[in-house]
Amino acid sequence: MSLLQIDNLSQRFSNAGQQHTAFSELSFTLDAGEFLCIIGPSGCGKTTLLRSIAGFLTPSSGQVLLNGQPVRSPGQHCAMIFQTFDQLFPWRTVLGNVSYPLLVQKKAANKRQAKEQAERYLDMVGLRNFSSYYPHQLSGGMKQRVAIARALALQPSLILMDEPFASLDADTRTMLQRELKRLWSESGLTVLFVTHSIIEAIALSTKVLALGAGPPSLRLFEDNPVQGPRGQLKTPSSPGYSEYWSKLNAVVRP
Amino acid sequence: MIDNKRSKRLKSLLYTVLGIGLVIGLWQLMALLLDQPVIFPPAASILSSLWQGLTDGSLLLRTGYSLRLILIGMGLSVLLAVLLSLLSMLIRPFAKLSHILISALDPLPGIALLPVAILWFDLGEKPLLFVMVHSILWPMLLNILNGFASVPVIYDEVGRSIGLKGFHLIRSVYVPASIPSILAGFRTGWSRAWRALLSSEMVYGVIGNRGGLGWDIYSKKVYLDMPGMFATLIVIMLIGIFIEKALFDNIERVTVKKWGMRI
Repeated sequence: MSLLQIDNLSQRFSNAGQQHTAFSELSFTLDAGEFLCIIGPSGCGKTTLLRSIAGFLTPSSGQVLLNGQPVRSPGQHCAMIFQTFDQLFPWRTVLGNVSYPLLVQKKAANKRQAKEQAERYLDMVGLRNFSSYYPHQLSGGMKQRVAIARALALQPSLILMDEPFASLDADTRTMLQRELKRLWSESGLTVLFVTHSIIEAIALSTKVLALGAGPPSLRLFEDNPVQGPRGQLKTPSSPGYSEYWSKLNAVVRP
Repeated sequence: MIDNKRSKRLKSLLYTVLGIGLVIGLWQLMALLLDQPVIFPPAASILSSLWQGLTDGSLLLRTGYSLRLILIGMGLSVLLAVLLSLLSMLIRPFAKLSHILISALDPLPGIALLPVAILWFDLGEKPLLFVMVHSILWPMLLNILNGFASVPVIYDEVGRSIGLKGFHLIRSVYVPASIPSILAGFRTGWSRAWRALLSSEMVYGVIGNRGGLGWDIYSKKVYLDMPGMFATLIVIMLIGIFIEKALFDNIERVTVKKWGMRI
């Protein structure tokens, strides 16, 4: 059985009497351990798809199955990482932001255990020395790292990332992409990663899904053919990179 | 670092003392120029009246009585505001009801309800508390609900995505995220409580078992005790400053200011 099964999924909204389709009749399955990047032009429903999988939106039709169970509301099945730097609670310290969800989800028996677990994950993202800081004292890149630590610590079946690095400067973005790829290969997580950037999608993913203005919304869903050393980013020097970039570029920007 | 903090505190104390001195000086100047001690008493006679009221205990007793009523009124109002705001957040139609109640009752001056309250509860502390709770509750509830309504969507979504729901989501996300508004509600409630209590006592005299500060001003007016009236006003202002500095400022320091939230 696949970890994630998207079955004929559609999302329609009505606004001021006008029907708007975010995406329609989308079907695909994803196995555990994959790193799927979702690309497509603005307004093609990438974020809507991610929010449907997270359970923030009820499907207009079709369904989302995770481990065979339909997703009905947000919660423990997956952890979400957003684009905005404001996704940390300003009233909790860095450590509190990571350890508190562990207590909510009862993934730690007590506060001491939650603290230890949180510290381990803060260590992984290189922020152990910032445990007692408040989010407003951190840079944007550091805040996103805390958000990653918070998601990883929960050990969810699925991590959903909505352009988490889009607001960062190029250097920080590359550094965080590298870290994310390393953490993913070490932990065996399954990641769904929405991005605008074809370069980011090729560098990170094992599979690529491209959406376009529908119908049909699904333009492409396949393994990323560009091979790189496991746990590292794929770069323009990786074999097959330029061909695949051209192919995705033609799909996303016809 | 500590020296810096201490010198800052000393500086602020110095400015406060200088400010008070300046006000007293200007007051004294006005009193000298007008030369009508009955209408515009000199600063010295106000201060000596204040000193006398504090040392013979008469002013302290009345202050204590007013403060006790205000604290009970605030306590009851906070309980009701918490209850109503929770119900409004958890039950959608209830939020509509709360907003209708606020828009209907908030503009209604508490003092206008006093005759009704006296007929309902008879003389005593009950009508006073009724008028006070009415004056405190609505602005407090309005501020809390406005605070909840303006919590950034991202906090709600993060809270739900880590598995918080219903009451737990409100307690762990909505309440800390709305502390600036909640504090604004407490400040408004606090000043409304004073207004309600003093105006009630001044219109109806001793309604409670004993008189508070409103009754104090009212009875001093009968004897044309101008310095005494100003002494009572000074006590009310001092309590206001003390609560602002000792309570609200400290709450802000350990919450929103520490968290880098905008106030």
